[in-house]
Amino acid sequence: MKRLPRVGYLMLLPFFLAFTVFIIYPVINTFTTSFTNDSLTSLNPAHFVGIANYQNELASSLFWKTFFNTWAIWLPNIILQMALALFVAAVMTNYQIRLKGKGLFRAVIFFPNIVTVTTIAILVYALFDWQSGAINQLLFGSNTSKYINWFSHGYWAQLVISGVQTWMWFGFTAIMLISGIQSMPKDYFEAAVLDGASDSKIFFGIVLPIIRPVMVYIMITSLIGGMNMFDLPWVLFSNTGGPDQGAMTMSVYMYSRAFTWDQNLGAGSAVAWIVFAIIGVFTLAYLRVTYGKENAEETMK
Amino acid sequence: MSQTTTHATAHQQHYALPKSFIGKKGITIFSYGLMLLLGILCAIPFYLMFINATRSNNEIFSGVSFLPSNHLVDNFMNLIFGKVSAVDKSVRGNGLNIPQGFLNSAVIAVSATLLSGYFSAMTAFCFSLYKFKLKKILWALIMIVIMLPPTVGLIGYFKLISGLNMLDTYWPLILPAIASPFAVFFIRQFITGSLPVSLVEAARIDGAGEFMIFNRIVLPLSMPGIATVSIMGFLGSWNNYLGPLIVLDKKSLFTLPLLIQQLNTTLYNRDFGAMYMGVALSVFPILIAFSILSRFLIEGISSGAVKE
Repeated sequence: MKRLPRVGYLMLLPFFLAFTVFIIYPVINTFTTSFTNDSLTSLNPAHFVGIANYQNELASSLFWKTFFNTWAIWLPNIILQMALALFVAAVMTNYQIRLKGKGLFRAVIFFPNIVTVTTIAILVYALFDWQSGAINQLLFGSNTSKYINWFSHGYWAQLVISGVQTWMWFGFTAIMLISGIQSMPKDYFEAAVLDGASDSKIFFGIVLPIIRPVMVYIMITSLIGGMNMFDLPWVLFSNTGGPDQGAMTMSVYMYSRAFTWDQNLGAGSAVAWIVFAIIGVFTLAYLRVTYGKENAEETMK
Repeated sequence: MSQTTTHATAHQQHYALPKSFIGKKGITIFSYGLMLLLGILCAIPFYLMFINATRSNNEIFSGVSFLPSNHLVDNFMNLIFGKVSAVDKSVRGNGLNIPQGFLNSAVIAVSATLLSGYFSAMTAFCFSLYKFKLKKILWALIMIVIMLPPTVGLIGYFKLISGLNMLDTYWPLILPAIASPFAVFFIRQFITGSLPVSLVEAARIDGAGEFMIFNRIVLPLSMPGIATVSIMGFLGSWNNYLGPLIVLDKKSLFTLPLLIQQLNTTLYNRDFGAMYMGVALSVFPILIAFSILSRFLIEGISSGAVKE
């Protein structure tokens, strides 16, 4: 491979300049801010407060409530999403089934994924409205006494948000799994068939291990996205967190602390880094469970 | 397993699944049924959205309908120009300028996508065809940043933008696109996988400089990869909510997601006709673009998945 000539460094410059200014610096700045009492309202310059912000947040019951809210929304979503996606991928790649309109089906289940979350949120708001929403009207017809007020309890709000996440993402996940299965070398399958392996053995012994890297990738990106869920609960309920504050995710809490309630940038930054740490811990734990101890570090590289 | 099965697999692109999983008739019908249900569940909210955009508020409250009504224009006027004043019928107030939102979003997303496409390809070109100091470390850094959660630098980003006096401008939403780690990763894969190195060497022998080689040879040849990742980048920028939320305060500068979010305020709270019209207007262009580009987009995402 040729050495990069001098002009090459100039060609790398724009990327790394923007990279440093707009990505690396903000991350470091958020980290340093988390050790100060910086605030949007205070006129005094920020000063160093040590780990006080972290101590306050980790001792705050509201923070832990948002932690459990976030999991209550993400966990059912990822389980259902993965199950549906596996099912769709299994049917779509089965050679014994000649489905018509596979391409259309793929496009239809993928479409919710590309629509702006704000738009989805307003649509959810309208469709789940308990008086005028189509969901109640379809479920209970004109029997208005049975209508469910979806945004009256924390658990309903969590269920709706979780379900909408599944609805938005299972198609994407299915497409990833399908391409994972189709990347499987033909001879694996043929050898297994010739050796007389049973159907279920082929699925659990060959297909699942083949798509495991894709599944791990989906799990980790979904975890990162799920722990950072902001748009949907924010557009629906803003900084109130909805009924019983059940829809207040960690990111909504972070944003509210930093920009709306007490405009405390220090506390908000600390929350952001705690969320980051949580993601790191769960990602490592998940990789260890899936790949075993010695391979986990290898996969991270 | 029978000989025919083996034979069938050799000629099919799709493999997999145990016969016992769906082989029996009942299970097959169940599978089809569930697939159909999933398809309907994905499509019906959008269908009802378009239908309800044509219905009056009273009609929407009175029950669900699968057929359009005739209040399309009313809803559109209420949304864009505001509701008719109860006092003076010729006065309307507080509409949402959705076309302006479209324009604003388009300006940002198109500029960001062009910058991202060009500079990502340039960076990927250097990484795939040359060796240089710190290459491994820099690449590792790019890979780590791809997996960084979006909120971890949010407050620092806000402080930076406000320090640069760039709040209420589009610069902080456009310029960061120059550094799009995922696009660099994706295009590097593409260049490594399908660019004939001999072409580059031939150009070099002919005396072309590296910058010229990039612009004249590598850039055009990498277009399929750049286009795929650009669609994803465009969608990301178009759908970005948190960035504009932090940067923009002036209503005339609002992007489409910020405007759409306004539908959830007291202004439109109980006017569902106008609300449905707002979301329908924002979905419609995406639907048209998607029906043309869906194959391309889905294949791009699939190719990304296999390379993991």
